[in-house]
Formats: sequence, C-alpha cells, structure tokens
Amino acid sequence: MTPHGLDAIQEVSLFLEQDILPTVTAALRSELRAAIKILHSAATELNVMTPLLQRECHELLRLNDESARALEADATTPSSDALRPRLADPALDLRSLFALHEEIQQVVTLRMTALLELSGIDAVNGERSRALLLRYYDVLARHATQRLPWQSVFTAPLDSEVA
Amino acid sequence: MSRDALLAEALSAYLSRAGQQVVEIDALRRLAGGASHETWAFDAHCHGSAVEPLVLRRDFAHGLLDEAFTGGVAAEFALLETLHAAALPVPRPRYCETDTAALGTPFMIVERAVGTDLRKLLAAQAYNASISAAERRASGVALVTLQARLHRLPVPLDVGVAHAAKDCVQHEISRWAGLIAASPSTRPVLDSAVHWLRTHPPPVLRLALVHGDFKANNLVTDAQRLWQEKSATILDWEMAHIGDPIEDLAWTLLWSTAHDLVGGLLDRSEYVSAYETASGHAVDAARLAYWEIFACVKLAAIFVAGVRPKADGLAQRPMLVMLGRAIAVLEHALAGRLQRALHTEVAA
Repeated sequence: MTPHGLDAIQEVSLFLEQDILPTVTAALRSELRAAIKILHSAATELNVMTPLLQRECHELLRLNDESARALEADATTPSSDALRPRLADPALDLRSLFALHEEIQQVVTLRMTALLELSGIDAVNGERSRALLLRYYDVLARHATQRLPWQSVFTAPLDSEVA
Repeated sequence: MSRDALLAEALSAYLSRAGQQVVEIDALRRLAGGASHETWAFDAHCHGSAVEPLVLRRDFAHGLLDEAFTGGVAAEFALLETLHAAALPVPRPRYCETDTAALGTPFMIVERAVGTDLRKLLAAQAYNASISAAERRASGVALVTLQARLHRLPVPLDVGVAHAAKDCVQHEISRWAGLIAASPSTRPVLDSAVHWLRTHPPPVLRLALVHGDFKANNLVTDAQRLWQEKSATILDWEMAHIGDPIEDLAWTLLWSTAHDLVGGLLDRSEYVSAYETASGHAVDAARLAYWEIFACVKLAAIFVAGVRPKADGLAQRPMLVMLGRAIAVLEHALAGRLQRALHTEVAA
C-alpha cells in the first residue's frame, strides 16, 4: 500500500522524533521539537482545511453582501461579487482556495475599516456599523477558534487563562 | 574546528585584546530562546582572578526583529549601563562591540545572572511543593514592587527616541503596525485592532521607562532571593522604551499561566492591586483594557514578523513558524476584546 500524504507526514514526524531528535545538539533540539509539532498539527489541519476554507469563504461573502446592502454610506469597499463564481469552480485546488480566502479577507479588512470609520459619524450609520462590526468580530473569532488546536504555543485561549 | 570551538577562540582573542588575560573559554553553550539575538553562556578563566561567568548576546543573521527596529545591542548596552548605575538588578554590562570583525556581528558581553528563570522555577515540582500560599503571594508582590521601581526611574533616559506623552502611544502603535502591514497576508482582526488603537488612544498620565517584555522568562531568580527587594535580575531590554507604564502591566498580564508571575504567584486582581500599592498610582481599568488590546497586537506583530518570507532564500526557523501558527489565539482574543470595547462605547 502506498502511504498517502497525511500518513507520510506522520511517518516522517515519528522518524524525526525517535531517530533524529536524540542525536542533535541542544541548540538544534528546540528547533527540531518545533518542527515535529508543526508536522503533527499540519497533518490535522490539511485533513479538514478544504471544507473549512469553503465554509469560511461563503460566510464572509454573505456578510460582505449584507453589509453592502445595509450600509450604502460605505462606497469605498469593492464588491466581492466576482469572487463567488471562483469559489464554485470544481477545479479549485487547496492552494488556489487559500489565495481566494486571502482575497476575501482583503475585502473584509476594507469593509471593517470603513465600518469603524462610519461608526462615529452619526446615530443611524453608527448604530448599523457597530452592529455589523460585532457580527464580523463574532464570525472571525469563530474562524480563529477553528485554528486553536493547530498551534502549540498557548495551552488555552488567552481570555480563559486570564480569568 | 567546530563552530563552537571557533567562537570560543574568537571570544578569547577579543577578551584578551580588551585587557583581560584570558586563559580559556569554558562551558560555552547556546541558550534556548532568543528570537532576535543569539545568546551564549560561557565561563572565562583569567590569569590571577576567579572564573567569570558571562553571557554573550549577539545580533542574529536572520533574527525576528532587526537592529533598525530594536536599536541593536549598542542601545541595549547603553541602557544596561544606566540601569546598573541606578542600582536596578540588571546583568552588569561588560563589553560592547559594534565592529563586526571580532565575531561577525555586533555583540555585547554581560555578567551571567545567578539563578534560574522564574518560568522554570514555577514549573519545578520541588519549588511548588515547598512554598505556601502566603509565600507565593509575597514573592509575587516583591516582583511587582520591582516593576513599579523600574517605572519610578527618572525619565527621559537615553533610550530609543524620546517622545512627548501625546506622541508616545501613536509611535508605539506605528512600530508594531508596520510589521503587520509589511506581511503579505491579510488579517482583518489585526488591521481592525490597529485602526481601533489609533483612533482611541488613552491619555498618558505619566511617562516611564517601559521594559516592554517584563515576563517570567526574563526574570532570573531563586527561591530564597524571590522575597527580597532585588528579587530578580531583569533580562532582555531590547524592547525598552519611554511610554505609558500601564503598557508594561498589560504585557505582563498577557502571560497568565501557572508558570507566570500572573497565574503562578498572583492572580490578576492581586497583581493590579499590588502594583497600585507599590507605585502609588491607581490603574484605570479602561486604560488597562486599551493596553491589553495593544499587547495582543504587539505579540501578533512579533509572530507575523517571524514568518515573513525571507528575501535571501534562507529556511524559516521552525520555532518561528510554530509561533506564527499561534496568531489565531491572539486574533481570537482580540475579536472578543474589540467586541467588548464596542459595547463599552455604546454604553458610554
């Protein structure tokens, strides 16, 4: 049986941990330990990344559309209409999906900056902007939560450690 | 000859030229950590004197924060001289060399602090088994008192660029926001947080020397000394600057596990209360909340800088890649804190 990519990553990681780690200098040991942890988390991440990115892209595009409809005062943020058909392309590979996710994030950044600026202008725009911003923060916090298990620097979300 | 042996030989030659009659460099070993500098511990055996335990700190070929950002080892060395003269517990500075001829990069040599870093001490089972709750709290208070003492030093000191109170907040935001802006990837939460920080700067009620990285692994101590006035030696001054002392508190609060000052010796409210008592200044909750958002942005900027693409084709260090993957934790915290800030604005 030919090992698939995720198994190959796990096998290489195990080899580094069992056979190479005991042989390297102290200075390299911490770097090698970090490399092994990254391989472990990358294998977990790659297993779920495609559907996760698809979901996130759809969610952000929906929120962008809603923001555009709700807040005509923001005339500066470009539309994300052209991005949606690319998301539906069945030939979209993971690298292209990462690139598309990045483009959507750029539109989101512009939108959120506009909302922050509009939030202080007048009562009507201010209220709508703040409501939309809260939803963006909510969605982006959820997206960040999905990535928490793929890091090994913090043992718990920061606010739970503070509490 | 190995790389370590070459370095030992170069160190011996340098110290001899600097007036030390060095016989031998012994126990040379690279210390873990250090994202912007390489740090090496070694013992210098000299004619007619005892062994000198020393630390070499030198610029790193592909460090996380470059010299233009930190001011380099020369600026840090000058600050250490000032602080040592003011009797603050810092490593005694010995030599600084900006010429690259001796070791290939600028470097400084300081006396090696005795003890272990607080993070390791708090992780040690033996220490935790031997300390009572009251002793733990007293140790924490001693460290906070040291932090407050640092903030009482007269300013402006010769550190970085001196800024007026109204400018120091924007200056500090710009430094870290620049690292985020230089990243090829877009991060809406970070950009949004930078925008919020820029548009909501709090008044700076007093200026102080801010260490910029006051946390457990930069405090060298031991179980007995932890009680005393000079309870720890404060290391790693590369991010020191003049600013709002509340910024320093927020950074310390960012590290809140059982192996940190906050979480290990004091809880959050004990820490803030101990600082108020030691400094004689009340800590305003809104200002602290502002600087806690800043602390998340600053740490994210450090992580972002670590994973920026390398122009020279060098491999990324796995440690920095690992840190880069933790940006999500900071984005998660920031999204929650910005939501709370928006609610507070509405309530006000």
